Amino acid sequence: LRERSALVRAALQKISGEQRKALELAFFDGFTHEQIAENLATPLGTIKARIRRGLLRLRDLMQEGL
Amino acid sequence: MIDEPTQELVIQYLLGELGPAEALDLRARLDMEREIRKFADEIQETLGSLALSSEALEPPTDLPELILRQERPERKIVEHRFRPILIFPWALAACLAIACLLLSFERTERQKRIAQLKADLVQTNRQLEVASQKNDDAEKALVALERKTHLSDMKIAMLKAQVASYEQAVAFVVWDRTNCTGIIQLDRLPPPGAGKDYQLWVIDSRSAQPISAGILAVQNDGLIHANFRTDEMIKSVGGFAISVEKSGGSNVPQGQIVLMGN
Repeated sequence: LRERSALVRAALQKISGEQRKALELAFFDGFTHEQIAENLATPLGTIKARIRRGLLRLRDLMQEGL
Repeated sequence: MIDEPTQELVIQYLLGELGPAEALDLRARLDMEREIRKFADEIQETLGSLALSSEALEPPTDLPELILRQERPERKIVEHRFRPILIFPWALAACLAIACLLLSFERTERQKRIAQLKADLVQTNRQLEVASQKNDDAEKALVALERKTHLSDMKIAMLKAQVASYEQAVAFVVWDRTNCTGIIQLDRLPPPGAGKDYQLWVIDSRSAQPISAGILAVQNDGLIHANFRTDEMIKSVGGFAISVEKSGGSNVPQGQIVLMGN
């Protein structure tokens, strides 16, 4: 479990800061896409794209084992 | 290849942002389209892995207390401390209970002891009755024995004439050795003569001189029946004698012995 946790943290460091911030707000803070867009003063489509790309990048990194 | 709008729709579904109608439609697509379903599974696993990215936090030490307060807010958590004031009544009650138990035990023992004593008393009374009966029997036996002894202490003597003129006289003496008393019965005894008296003597075998038993008063018919006793204690009677003494008697025999026997 510790190895898996270290892997996730390393993967998070490999995605962009904007994607990471959007994911943290959506996943850990429970904000909706609209709320994130409003808080970050960013268009909703951009937020959706950041979250989608971030998740896909994380999926690929973890499948590859970094 | 899943298009980007569908990917975003799946992500929003997994994050719980879709409305009921949109979620229903997407679930139908997930059931029907294998590729979308596979993508959803991968993204869901990725989202689940995100939870591992957070640092492990040590639970607060007062977490159990916080949980208990949330579960039972109306109840205060009581600190278990030694409170002598609260313990004292319980200790007193315990002491009283023990004392009652001991007293009850002692009472039972005393009752048993009393019952035993009563039984012993009944048995003792029975034994006393038996002993009293034996005592009565023994007293009766003792009385009978004393009578026998008394009779054995009696000495009967017949006096014989020592002078020819007294051959017709009959004389008996019954002597009680224990009380030193006696009874004399004389018949057909002639008058002693003017200025004379008959005097009875008891012969003590341990004494040198006979002991006077008194003057015998003769009736006109020559019959004498008299009780007599000696002034001195006679331990061993050897016999009896009647002599004719001067009127009033004598301390020692001086006249003629007319009757004697043993």
